[in-house]
Parts: sequence; structure tokens; C-alpha cells
Amino acid sequence: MPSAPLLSVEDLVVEYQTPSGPVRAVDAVSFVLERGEVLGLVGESGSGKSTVAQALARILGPPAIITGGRVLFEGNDVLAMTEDELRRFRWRKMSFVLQSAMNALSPVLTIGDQIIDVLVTHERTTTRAARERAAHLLELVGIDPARLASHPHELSGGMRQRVGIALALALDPPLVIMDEPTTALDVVVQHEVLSKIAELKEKLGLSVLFITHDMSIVSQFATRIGVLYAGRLVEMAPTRELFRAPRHPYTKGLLGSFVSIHGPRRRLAGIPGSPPDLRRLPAGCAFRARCAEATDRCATEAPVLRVIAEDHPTACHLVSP
Amino acid sequence: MSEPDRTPPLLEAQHLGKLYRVGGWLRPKHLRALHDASFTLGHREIVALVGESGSGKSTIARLCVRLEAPTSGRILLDGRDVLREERGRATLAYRRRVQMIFQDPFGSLNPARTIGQHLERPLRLHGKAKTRADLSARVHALLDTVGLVPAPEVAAKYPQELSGGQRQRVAIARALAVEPDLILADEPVSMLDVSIRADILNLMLDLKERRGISFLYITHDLASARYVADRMMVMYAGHIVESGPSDAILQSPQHPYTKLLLSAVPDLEGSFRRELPARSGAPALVDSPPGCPFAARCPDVTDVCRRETPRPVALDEGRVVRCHLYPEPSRTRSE
Repeated sequence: MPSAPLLSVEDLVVEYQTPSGPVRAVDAVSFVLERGEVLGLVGESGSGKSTVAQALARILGPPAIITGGRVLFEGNDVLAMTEDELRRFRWRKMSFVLQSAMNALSPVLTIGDQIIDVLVTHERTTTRAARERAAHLLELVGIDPARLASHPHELSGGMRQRVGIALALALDPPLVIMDEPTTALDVVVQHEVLSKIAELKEKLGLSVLFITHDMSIVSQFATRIGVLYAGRLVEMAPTRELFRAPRHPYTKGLLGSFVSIHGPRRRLAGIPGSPPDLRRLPAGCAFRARCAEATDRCATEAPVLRVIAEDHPTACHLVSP
Repeated sequence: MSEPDRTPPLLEAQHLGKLYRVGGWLRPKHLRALHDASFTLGHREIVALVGESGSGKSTIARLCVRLEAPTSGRILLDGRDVLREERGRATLAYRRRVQMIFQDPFGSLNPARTIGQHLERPLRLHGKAKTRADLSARVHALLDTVGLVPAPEVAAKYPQELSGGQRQRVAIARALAVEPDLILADEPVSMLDVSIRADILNLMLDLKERRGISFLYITHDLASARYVADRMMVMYAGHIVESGPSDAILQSPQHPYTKLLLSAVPDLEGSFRRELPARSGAPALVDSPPGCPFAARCPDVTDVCRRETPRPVALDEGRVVRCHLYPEPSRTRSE
């Protein structure tokens, strides 16, 4: 049997039901994540990046509804799974680290009890074996196993976030979805958490879907990057290629918005205007109002994602192969 | 001192300290939020105050705008000791000179008032407009200055009708209403989308160039600090550990903490494979031990670091570092 990709998202559509009608937060997003790959999904507020993560986890609740598309994990339809199937699927096949993971720990249980709880609930294992595994997991994320006896409030934010990563790795899932896992952390701690994730990817062959607003974070260890704007994937390319030859005007603008601590000081351009209101999306290209190169066609016809270079699809009328 | 300049700096802080009492009434403890902070802010100058959470950078801003009084030290505005001359809260005269903008452009505006009303209030309070027509002309001019056009249309809107970047522009326009000499900007872009941060940073640069306004730019982001600031001060655990021209600090950081911070900054070119010179860890601010606050994490720590708090040492190019690795040359150790 030909092996299916690890994760395949096909034309995913998520809508929020509002009194004034449905608002499309994720609009026909498609991508494939192969084994051993770190895929970065980058976007600003309203780009739909967190909604994608929550849809994949199937933790979206009303008013958000998945109204279209398929999510296939090793060929199995995640969106069609029953609650029972989901329980067996989550943690074991696909786990999650969210921005608030460090606040998701129970304040009354020790770190050890919480990890052991996950292990015992999901696997036939003895408490003793689970304790050993929990100690190993803490070591894996660079925390002294003696901390198993600590309560969350005794750990720093960075350590709690790493406990969140340890929990996500508890059942050895092939795929971890991380949504802004370091945004609330100071830079030194952020560096430690990110280098730990990069190391685990090497060591365990882990696949990661890494969702962030900060391009500079994924640039260092994502194999490919997808750029989301107003709920749509506008460009996707191998990391180096994206930085070397961005095609979509939004990607170019985003890359030009970063200040560096090295090199010559140049005037930052940024992108004029601000991300559109999803409730009042204009016809045509959603980026048009902020785009310096927009033409008449951009006002009437929404561009679709087309492969314009090898492994480099872009949704823009202005770029051609 | 290298400069024989007689005009005093716009604002000067001398040995500012701030202690907070925490814990119980019977066994009070002291949280040292700020220790012996001395610095100057010149006219037409942007100085960045860089540090991680809990480093004391917002405390400096709150003291300088006089939302709180320091436990020790002096604040001089144009060479005049403002804390001695006007005890208690900042007077209108002080607020006319020194304004502050905050991180959260959502929380600092009243949803029940139009943008125009937000800007009219300081203009009236400070007697900047005599007539109704004068007032609305001033409001429109302010909105023009911060690039919110067409001004009459924007003035009629409510905060919730604007985007985050636009709201932060309103906050800046409101600070500009009194024509201040100094604006303390506490993380003004950290809640904004990356693509619109440049706008606010460029606006600060323009206001400095064209209006001669000075900024104290408070941030955790070294890259944006370098972009806007002529000079920067790096804070750790309530201490200004290093200060000097921005480029000099980033090209050759001297303090071990600055070196750590710089090597941790994510960069489009960098790699996470590199090892950091020190680990993360939170300093003890409550009843803190003697010595350098960074001693517990410092790769270059020596015995003296655990005994004595280092004093500021002046290097060349206007740089100052607070670290025992840099001996105090002209000082005889008698104390």
C-alpha cells in the first residue's frame, strides 16, 4: 500500500456563526505535512492560524463550525472520527502544545502526577513504569526529574511550558501541533524551548506543525513555511526558498517588516493599512487594499493557489511561473 | 566627563530606587524593583530601555511620569529637582512636559467616547484651544500628524471601530496634544501585528526628527530598540547593567547579561544550534542577597560578585557597564 502523507489537509473551511451571518475564518486551506518535517504556519491576527490548529485538534466549539474539507492523518479522516476514536487518537497520534499550555496544568497536582495521569489513562502501564517514563520525559525537555514532585507554581513560565511539551510527547506521537508555544516567554527562555524542540525533532524524528506570528522564530528550524492571510494560504515554500525569493506581495512585506540586530540599518517599510475585517471581506484578493501592485483584476477575482515554482505555490495574480 | 555642556539634560534620574513592601505585616519583606538607577535623557533623543519581564523597566517609566514616587533618588527636569519642588502627584505643568503611552491600545481608550473626544480632553485641560473651532482644528491637526486620515472622519469614530495600530496612533496623538518634550512609551508595539509595527516605530522617529520630541522607548525587543534608539540601557533585576550608544552595545556587548540576551534573539539568519552562554533563571527580587543580581547565572562569576553589588563603570564612547569584570580605575577602595 502506498504510504499516505502523515497529515493532509484538504480545502479546510471553518466558519464562525454570528448574528449577521457566517464569517469565514479559514477558507479552503490545503497543505501536506510529511514525516520528520517541521511545517511553519505564519500569520497575523485574523489570519486563521489558530483556528486551523483548533480545527485539526477538533477542539473547536460553537460558534465555530468546520463546514468543509478533509483532514487525513495517515489516510484516516480525522473529521469523521467519533468521540471514542478521537480519544484514542489524540495524544497518541497527534498532540498539542498551545500558547497557554503553561497555564493548563492543574495547580493542585504535582508535575509527576499529571504526566503519570496521562500515561496511565491512555496506556496499559503500571504506576511504577509510568513514573520512570515521566522522569525520562522531563529529562527530555531539560528539566531535572526531581521536579516531578513540584507543583506548577514552583516552576517558572518557561519550565511549565516545557512540561507542556513533555506532556505532548508522553505517548510518543508522530505529530505535535504547536500554536505559539513561546509567545509568552522571555527571549532567553524562548531560545531554550525552541532549541529543545529542534533537538527533539532530530532525536525522535518528530513532525511538528508550528504556528506563529513571528517569522524569525520558524525561520531557524522549519523545513517549509506557509503564509496565511485573512483565512487563506497565500504562499508556501521551503524555508530557504521563501526567504530568498518570496513571491506574494504580503510575504515580501512581512519579511520587510522585521528589524534585525545585525547588518545595516535600513528604513523599515512595514505594510500599509491593517489586516482586513473578516466580516466585511472585499471581493477579489483580500490583500488588495494593502498591496502596492494591485491591478483591476485583483478587485474582482480572488487569486487561487497555483504552483509557480517547484514546491512553491502562491496565490497572486501578479506572479507567473 | 567628556562633555562640558552647561545646559542640563531634558530629564535626569539620579540614583533612583524603588522598594515595594510585600508579604505579611508582621514579617514584611522588600521587593527591590529598582536599584540605584542613574541616567539622562537628552533633547531630541530616543533612548531604549531594554529588559525582560520583571527587570524594572516599567518601574522606571512609572517613576519618571510620576505615577509613583521613588523610595530614593532624584528626578531632575531641566536641572530642577521636581520631587522636591512639587511633592505628591505630578502637576499639570509636569504632565505638559512628560507624557506616557502604554502597551495596550485596547485598554487605554474609553469605548464610550469618540476619538475626537479623547483628544479634546487634554487640549481643554491644558488650555490649548480657546474656541470650539480652534478645538476641532487642533484635533484634526493631531490626527494628521499621526497619519490618521481623513481626520474629520476618524475623529467621529469610536475606538472599537479602529484597528490595533490605529488605536496606538490615537494614544500617541493624545500624548502629543499637550506638546510634550518627552514621551515614555511602554512596549508600544508589542501587542501589534508585525506588519504594522514599522508604522509606529517610524512615527516615533519622525516625531523626534521633525518635532524634537524625546522618547524613552521601553521594550523587550533588542532589534526594534536598535532601530529607533540613539542609546540604550539594558536592565536586569532592577539594575541598569549596561548603557551606551545602541550600535556600540549590539556590536560589542560588555556585560555578560547583555551578551546572553543578544545571543538569544531569534534572527532570520541564525540557528538554534548555538549554545547560549548562560541558562535562563529568575533573579531573587524579594530580600535579594548581596552582590551582583546576575551572579547566580553568570559564566564569568568571581567571589567578589557574590559579596558586592558592582557600581557603574564608565568606558569610552559614553558607555557605562555595571560589572566587576570592569574595575573602577580611578577609585580607591576605602568603603
